[in-house]
Amino acid sequence: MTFPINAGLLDSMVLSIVQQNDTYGYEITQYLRRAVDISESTLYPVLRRLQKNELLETYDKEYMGRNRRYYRITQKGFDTLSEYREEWLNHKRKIDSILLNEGVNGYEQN
Amino acid sequence: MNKIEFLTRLKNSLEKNGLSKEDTDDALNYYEEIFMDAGFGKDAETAESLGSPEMVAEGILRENGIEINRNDGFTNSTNIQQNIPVQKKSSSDTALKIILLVISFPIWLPLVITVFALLFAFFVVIMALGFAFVVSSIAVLVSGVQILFESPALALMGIGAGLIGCGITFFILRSIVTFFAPTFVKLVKKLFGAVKRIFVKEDKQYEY
Repeated sequence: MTFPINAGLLDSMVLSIVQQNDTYGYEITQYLRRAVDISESTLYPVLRRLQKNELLETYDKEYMGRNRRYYRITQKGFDTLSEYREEWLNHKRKIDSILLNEGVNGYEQN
Repeated sequence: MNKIEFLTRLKNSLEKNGLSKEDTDDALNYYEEIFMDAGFGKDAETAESLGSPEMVAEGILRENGIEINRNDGFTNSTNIQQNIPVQKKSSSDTALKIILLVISFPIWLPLVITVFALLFAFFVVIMALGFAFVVSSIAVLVSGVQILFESPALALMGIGAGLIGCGITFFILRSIVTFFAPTFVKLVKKLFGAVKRIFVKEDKQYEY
């Protein structure tokens, strides 16, 4: 069984990858494939959305006689990523509490 | 499917549904880059992993629709309205073309007829030349046989010349049949195709 990856999670992961260093479409997909089964076609709308929401910006750099589009994280993107990371930890804790039976304390408090 | 075919089909699907030029170009750039980054000679493999261009286009279009929806509930309808002028323009374009063609027919009709007539004349001349050559060769051959006993030397020359003529004609005719005839047919087909393309809106190729 594979757990589906939703748009929010994908956005977060892409932001996190680009935050490490500026990179391009093909490399982002290769990186994501370590964790999820994803094609370049799935990634494109994600990149486009992040770009339109000004979380990512692009610049062209020459590579072997052609232009390659690189993505760079913006300040807004960085802030959003921090938010997402916090949300993810929260979410993960809640899921773990149920899935891994780690939530006895939390349950008693309610 | 190779890179060009993938990009062409993607471009057609995006344009057909009225996606803006900027968004279309951006998508095409992205996918072209993917093909190049994946490596030379891996076109077919890459295209397969990307999925069908029409499905890819659908995803891009949906994403554009959803995004507009998120910001403002009303803009979705403007997105639909955007589609209409684009379609209208292309259909009025075709109509305009047809009207222009009808109006200008006193000019182009004689031209088309002339081109066809010239092609036909060319073909006829070649056939006539071949025919004349055959007939004269056979005539020389026959007359050579006729005077064989009256004047053997002249007769032998005639028979020889006649046989050479027949041989040459045979080769020329054969090359006409195998080379000129298909070329002629192709030329006529191309002409019809050109005329047809004026009326039927062509599928745009992705330019390189």
